[in-house]
Amino acid sequence: MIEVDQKRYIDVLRRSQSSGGEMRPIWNPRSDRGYVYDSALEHQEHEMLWRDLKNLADLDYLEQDFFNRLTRCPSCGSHHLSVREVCVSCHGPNLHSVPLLHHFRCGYVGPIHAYGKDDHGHRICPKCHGTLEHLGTDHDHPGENWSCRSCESSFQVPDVEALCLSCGTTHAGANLVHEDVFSFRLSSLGAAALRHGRLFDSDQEQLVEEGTPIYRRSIFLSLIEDERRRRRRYAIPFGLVIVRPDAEDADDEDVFAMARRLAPKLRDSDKIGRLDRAHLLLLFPSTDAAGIEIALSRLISPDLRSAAVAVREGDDTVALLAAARARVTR
Amino acid sequence: MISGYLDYLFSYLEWGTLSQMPRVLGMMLTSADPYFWLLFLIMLRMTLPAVVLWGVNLLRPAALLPPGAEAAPRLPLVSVLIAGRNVAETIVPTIRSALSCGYPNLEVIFVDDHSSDDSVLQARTLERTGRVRVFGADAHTGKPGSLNVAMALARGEYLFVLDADSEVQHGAIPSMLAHFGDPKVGAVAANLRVRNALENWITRFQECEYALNVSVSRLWRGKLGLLSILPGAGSMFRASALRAMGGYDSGLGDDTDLTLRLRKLGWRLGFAPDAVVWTDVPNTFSWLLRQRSRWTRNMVKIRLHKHGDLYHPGRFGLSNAMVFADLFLLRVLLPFLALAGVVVYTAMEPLAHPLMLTGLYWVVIFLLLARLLVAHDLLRTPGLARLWLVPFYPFYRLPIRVAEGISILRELLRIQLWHPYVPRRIWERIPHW
Ligand SMILES: [Zn+2]
Ligand SMILES: [Zn+2]
Ligand SMILES: [Zn+2]
Repeated sequence: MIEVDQKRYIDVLRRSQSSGGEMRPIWNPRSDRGYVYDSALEHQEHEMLWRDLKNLADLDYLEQDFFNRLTRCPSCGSHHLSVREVCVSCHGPNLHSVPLLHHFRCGYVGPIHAYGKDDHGHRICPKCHGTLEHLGTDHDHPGENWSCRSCESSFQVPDVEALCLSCGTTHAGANLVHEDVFSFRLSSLGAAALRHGRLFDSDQEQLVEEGTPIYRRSIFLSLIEDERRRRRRYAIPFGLVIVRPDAEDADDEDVFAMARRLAPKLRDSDKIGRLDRAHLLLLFPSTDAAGIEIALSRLISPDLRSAAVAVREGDDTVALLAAARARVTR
Repeated sequence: MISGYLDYLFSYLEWGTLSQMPRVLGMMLTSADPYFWLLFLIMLRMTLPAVVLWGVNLLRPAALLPPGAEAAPRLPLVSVLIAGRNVAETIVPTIRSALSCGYPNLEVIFVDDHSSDDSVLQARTLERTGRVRVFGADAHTGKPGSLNVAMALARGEYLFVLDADSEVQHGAIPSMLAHFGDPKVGAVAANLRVRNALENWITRFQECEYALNVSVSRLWRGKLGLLSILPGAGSMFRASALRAMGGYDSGLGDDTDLTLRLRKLGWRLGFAPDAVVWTDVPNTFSWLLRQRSRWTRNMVKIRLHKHGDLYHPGRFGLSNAMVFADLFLLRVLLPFLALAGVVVYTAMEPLAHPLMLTGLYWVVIFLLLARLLVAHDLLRTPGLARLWLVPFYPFYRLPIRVAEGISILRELLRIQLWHPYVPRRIWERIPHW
């Protein structure tokens, strides 16, 4: 890794630490992306910070959490979009919607303006001249109907279309580009990097977290993918277990201690990996469900929480791990 | 014993017996016994219209064409209105049949009555044709309310009301539109035919029944201005006529009710035999009986209770009074008189009874055959291959008649008026006829 990048990455990690361990997006309509991570920066520095945060997350120094989703113009990428209902046939936005009323007694259905009003302000049915008193008991509202003032079309569900205020093009809702926005938190590896004042990029350090048996998150995720591939092709099963210290306020040191206690109980082929600051994963190659039960019973101790994670064909690993994390969180 | 009776049964088909028929008929006609007269009148009423219709078709076929048939072709916008609940299986083919029936100026409006299945999603797949609009109601409203929603959304000059499980035959719409050349015509019934006729013997019988009681009957009634029901499964309305009445009334028996309200306002009603709409009929006997019970109850509810004032010739005209009298005699009075007759005769002459019934049976079969042949000749339905059903037809009709009789009594005695066809919250708000 280039020296300059190293230094800048450490700076970014330090900035995360000083802002409470987390970099959250700040909405900013005047910025290119619609949000920034640090309002104090100059215009062109935002993009650099954005890329550094992404890279640091890929390298396991930061954990990224889904924050929100933005839509962008597919033509120019701008987030200055005006999304509105448009006519299904002419795509014009000049629509009005008319609520329909249904009178139970006589069955009449008509637009709300077809009903007159009596002296007490109650609506009068134009068909049977009965009074409409309570919505739901003697009349109801079967739904809304939209009409287009440009072409006289009428429909119940209008199309959704976005007008780009930057380039003036319009796009169907389905064609808009979606961008997931993340917040970034310092990972245990990031915290260790700050303590040492450097990134860990020697051969050994790129595999496991320095001084521990814990595989780095990105490495471990690719190990899981390898196992899934092996299972798909050769039907060799594997097991996955999530563990965390029982204490709610466990710090990095507690997690390391847990990993060191677990390591001797595992076979040589089993691996410990990082999910996030509080959670570790255990991977058991060539182990079926019964084997996992046995392994779990051996691991159980009052100072940790654990759960087996069933990985089915077609599951998304990241979503699966998020669900598993929720299971061991109180 | 049984084979002896069968010998006797078939002895009627021998020439010796058949040659006696005119004499027997003469005896019946000159008999002082009112029961024979009653039977004779029923048979006359059942058979004569079909035979006359056949004769007219033979001598002056042009008389059976719609009055405005030669009018210049106009292509007014026709809105096809379909209301349905949990019809995901059938809605797409139904809409597709309407779209592809060969009429260019058409919109289809499907109102989903708060289905629990994916009817709305299924129907929406056709929205991109640009000619289909789907409206999913937020609450269960019942069929009349849903059709009124469809009517509120429709823009057509004519409204074609269709069931969600039917199929429009190519060319049906112009055949119906031809009748509207007469500005006094307010609505036209399509010719309903049974799509699932080949499914089993129950549906085969219903095909014959539809040919007689729906197609042929509507043909002569239409000509005489006596049409008294426009089927909800396929009828076209002049939109202005329907709008002026505020559409369907809430409650049961919506199509009969609408027909009679149109009649009261003086609209003429037509029947278009060439406008074929294929519809599915019940394929089990219990379902069939339930359907007929509901129809019969609605008939009493709507025709006797709600529109009983139609009989008054001074108020609503002679034809309405005739419709009412015919219906009352045929559907209410005669079935009970016939039943009473059977009971009385069995009590009086227990031994003569089977012989008399056997004779009667053959007469009924003969007349039925004649009517089915007329139907086949006029409308090509039922097919000749279906005629072997004729000897069994009375046994198919008998339980239906009994069920109908029970329903008439139940409705007259107002036993269990509510039917799940109408949602409770609406039932509680409507007048109960
Ligand atoms: Zn009303
Ligand atoms: Zn438009
Ligand atoms: Zn743009």
